Amino acid sequence: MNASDDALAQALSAVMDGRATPAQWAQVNAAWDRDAALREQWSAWHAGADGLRSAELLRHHRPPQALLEALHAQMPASVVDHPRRRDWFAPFGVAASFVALAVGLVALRPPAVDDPTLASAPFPAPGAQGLGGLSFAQAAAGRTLPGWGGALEPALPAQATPAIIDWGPALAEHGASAPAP
Amino acid sequence: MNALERDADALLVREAQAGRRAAFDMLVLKYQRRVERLLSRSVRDPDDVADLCQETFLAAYRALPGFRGDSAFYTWIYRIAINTAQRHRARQRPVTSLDDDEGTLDAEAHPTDDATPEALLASRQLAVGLNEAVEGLADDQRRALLLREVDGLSYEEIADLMDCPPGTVRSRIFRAREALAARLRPLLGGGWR
Repeated sequence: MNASDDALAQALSAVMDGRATPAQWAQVNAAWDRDAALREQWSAWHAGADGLRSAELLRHHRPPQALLEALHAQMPASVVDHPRRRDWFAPFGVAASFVALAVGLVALRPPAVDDPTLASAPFPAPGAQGLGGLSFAQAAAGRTLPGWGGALEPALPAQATPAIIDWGPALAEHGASAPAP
Repeated sequence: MNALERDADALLVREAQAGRRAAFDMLVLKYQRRVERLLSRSVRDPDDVADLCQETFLAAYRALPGFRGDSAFYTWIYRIAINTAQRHRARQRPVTSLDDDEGTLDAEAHPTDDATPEALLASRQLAVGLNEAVEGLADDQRRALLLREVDGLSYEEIADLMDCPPGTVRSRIFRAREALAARLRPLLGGGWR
């Protein structure tokens, strides 16, 4: 065994004991697929450890390569834990609020006018419309509101249906551990 | 399952969740014998046990993103194995009541004793080889290895007991593992290419 093999084997031993540094883990991870001796070493170490705890466990040892090959043939490509939709909903909501605020402020800003006559003319401040002021969405769409207490704009439904966002099925925490129905 | 083993699994679980298959392979090779022993307590046919073991690990792999580490990995996969065995038995005997919702195994289940003579011989040879390898270790290496693997002590605890630095303990354990593996490797049927 050369020095690099020895370092790799020591890194593997550290992984086995939960003492691997990130560099040791990276070393083991990089070598795992191409280094059959490393895999064999891991398997033999654990078989030995199991045998020390209980001779019965040795009866259940199977050739590890065949076991892994059979598993790999059926394993999906990746199980990377993508963030759940709920996880990005909150930051997305905050960002969307800021965008809407910016759009609204731009829409309600007095226009820049070069003509001094027009520039001195009174411009209705947003607050002057009270609760009947433009919503950001309406301002952006160029809509005007009816007077306070007046009829709703005919084009708008009397009760706007809240948008329903389908976030998909709930993600079970321990889906695999639940017995099949 | 001791705390140290749980810590060791935490790294592998985390890495497997990040998509590194090597980490999952390591967990499989570590727990295959324990999972099969568990399955063999409720399923008699060794071929079925092997299939169910594979089914268990596949289910675990698919569910891995949902594993939050609230329990030890072994506890989690133990539960998956029990459920896998229950489903198998339900398929085999659909009219039998399976009210074993506490995860305990059926009292009627018997450990599989259908191992072939070859399999029994192989496991006996493994046990003999392991004993010989352990007896052949230097005293310090043997003591350090047994304290780690059987008693589950940390490097620091072993260092305290053996009155030496933790680095020496680590080295003794590593050398002991190497010696055992050299003796066991021809008996384990790796089939690696």
